[in-house]
Amino acid sequence: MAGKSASSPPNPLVITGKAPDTPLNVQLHPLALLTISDYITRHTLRSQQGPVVGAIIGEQSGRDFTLEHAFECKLEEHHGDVLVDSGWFTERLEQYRDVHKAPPLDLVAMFALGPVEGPQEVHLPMLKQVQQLTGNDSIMLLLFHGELVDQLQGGKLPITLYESVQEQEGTQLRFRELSFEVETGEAEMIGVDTVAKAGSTAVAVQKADTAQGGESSKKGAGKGKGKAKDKDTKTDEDGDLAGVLSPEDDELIASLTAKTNAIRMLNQRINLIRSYLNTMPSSYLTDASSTTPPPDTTNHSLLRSVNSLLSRVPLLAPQTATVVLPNGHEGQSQQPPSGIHAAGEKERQDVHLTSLLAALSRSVAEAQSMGSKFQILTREKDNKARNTYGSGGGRGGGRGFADEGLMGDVSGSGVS
Amino acid sequence: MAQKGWEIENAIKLVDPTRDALYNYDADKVKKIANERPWRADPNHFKYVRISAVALVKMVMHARSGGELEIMGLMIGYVEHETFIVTDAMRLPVEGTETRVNAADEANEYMVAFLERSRQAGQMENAVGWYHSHPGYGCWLSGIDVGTQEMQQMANEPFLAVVIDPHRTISAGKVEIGAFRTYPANYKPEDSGSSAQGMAAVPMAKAADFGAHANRYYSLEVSHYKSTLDAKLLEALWNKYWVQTLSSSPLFTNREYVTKQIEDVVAKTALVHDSMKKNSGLPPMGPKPKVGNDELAKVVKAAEKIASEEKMGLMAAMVKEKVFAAAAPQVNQAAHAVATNGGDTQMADVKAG
Repeated sequence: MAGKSASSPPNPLVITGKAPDTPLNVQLHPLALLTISDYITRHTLRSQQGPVVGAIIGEQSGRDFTLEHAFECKLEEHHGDVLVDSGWFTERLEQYRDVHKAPPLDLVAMFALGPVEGPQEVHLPMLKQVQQLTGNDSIMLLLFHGELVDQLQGGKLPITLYESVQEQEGTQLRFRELSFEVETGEAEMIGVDTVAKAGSTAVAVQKADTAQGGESSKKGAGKGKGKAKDKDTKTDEDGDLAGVLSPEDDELIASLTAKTNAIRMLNQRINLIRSYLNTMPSSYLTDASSTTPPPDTTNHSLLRSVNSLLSRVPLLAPQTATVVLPNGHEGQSQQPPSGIHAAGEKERQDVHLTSLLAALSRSVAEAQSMGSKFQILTREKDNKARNTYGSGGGRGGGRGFADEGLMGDVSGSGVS
Repeated sequence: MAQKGWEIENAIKLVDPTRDALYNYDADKVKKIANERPWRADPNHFKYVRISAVALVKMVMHARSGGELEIMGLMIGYVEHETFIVTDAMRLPVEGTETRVNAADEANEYMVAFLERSRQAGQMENAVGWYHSHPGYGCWLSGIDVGTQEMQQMANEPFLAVVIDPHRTISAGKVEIGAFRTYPANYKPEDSGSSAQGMAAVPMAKAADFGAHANRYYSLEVSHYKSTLDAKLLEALWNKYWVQTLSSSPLFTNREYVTKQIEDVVAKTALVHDSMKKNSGLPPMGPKPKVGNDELAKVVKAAEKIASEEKMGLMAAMVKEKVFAAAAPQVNQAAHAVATNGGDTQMADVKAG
């Protein structure tokens, strides 16, 4: 998938080329993106008709724009054009303005699904209508590219932002691509971070105490929050659910995936630097006898930065004392590890200790529950026996002691 | 009219019906449940809350935007079995809600109009709860809150109360949120006493208000969910922060937080231990061991959570070591080589040229 390649005919609605001298400064907030994604998921899953169109509100001051909150729009068709329901839209915008007063937010963009090539004819009527309704000609258009979602790499988001340009009155409305950056506030970052790490997928809620395996035929029931009782009939359902993970596993996988992506990114950047250096013409460094001076186009500051980066790398290695062994070679000493090694060891041991304690608590809890179940069993048995034989108290006393013994054992093991 | 990329056909593959099941909405099922009203029979019927990504971020941002003033909003969604599912949240134009009983009434008009417009746009969920913030004083229900929620639970069931503390959220770096349901006026909860112990973090100034009403409500377990599309987008977003991902040392930065958690678990364990000892003398009645088991189960869950967080932190440290420090000997050699060949090569070139 080539993206905006030259092989597809240029989109007549898109103006290519340099942006004007004072470019707009646009900041996109993750919440707007999440809202759009939430709307797409809902719209698709509920098989709702019609295109996915909505509005984005944000702050505008001079040439700085922010895209902060988004909401979906009610649409109507008008002679084959897709437009927003203007009465609905005006009222809804007012409702949002009412609760976003400090700082005051207003409509800054519309969003829609769109192809990578850019805005299409179908996007025009809606945008023009909104510009008329609000009297604001600089409403931007944000296109969400569904086809790019599965090939996201290098942190590129599957969206493109366009500003509308009307060269003269009466001519076609055209678009120019805008660059934007992602910006977040503190609260937003924590919220988004929590959600990203939480990992849980939105599988349907399972009924907590399914009596029989009859429910197992109802698929779509994942782990959810139902604490399944251990019935045999459940095991084949669990087998089917092997693909759905518990929340802890999900978290673990999410963090590992994040690390993998980060390492991949690091690798890419390093390769980039390496290939750049390879393209440098040969010089003093590669061949000590060469006397050609470096070409004028050498970017010295870049090379200096690379050099400083490289000189910092040895600092990452933990200090190990190297001693000269009797046979004249340098070697690693077997002496007590350096400070950082010791600290690392301690951390590792602390983590293992907490795991151990957690496992221990779990064992205690399970022994405890087994103990109480046993009590109930013995009590029931004794009750039955008592009722059968009609005798009373003597048993009761003996039972009391037995129970205490069991409790004592359990709490004893918990303490030690 | 072939409208490329405009219609939903292309969006189908962005959604996974199994893993995104909560995003669906079955109006008939909702009506059926509203008629059956299974919560009438059991005041403790609802136990869990699942909050969508959008709803959570909106609520946290709203709470933060209020600064020192309490803010308030509405949550929409539906219920399923014993779970509240919050799909979205909306702000209400009222502030400073803790001292006024009728704050919700002022926003009534706004609420009704907003919900109506949402329904017209295709968002059919009903209001399923309200949220408000306690800036700096923790997640619990004050006397006024309890009153409000009791009224809602009589008139608008099923309804949920959610509280967010934006200050603690920022300082802990984790969302501080709680979800509650009140008991009916004449109901005495079985384990009256344990709910008060769970929330040890109430400042002295509010402790009286907290203590007086702590037994009139119980808290539900909160978890979050996001769609598969959300997950992909968040991954892309987080690729922008990859440096921080690799360089972070969670074991180190979270040391204080983890210590506090461990202290908390220790305290709870001691409590459970004491209550066990008390009960062990008598022939145990039916419910008592169950209560003990529940408490112990909670302690175990907390302990395992700490353990898994620590494990993730350790993995981060190990990854760092492998990536950056494992090649130490070669790095040292390379560094030596550069040094011996004359480090200041660029200056030399300039001098030569």
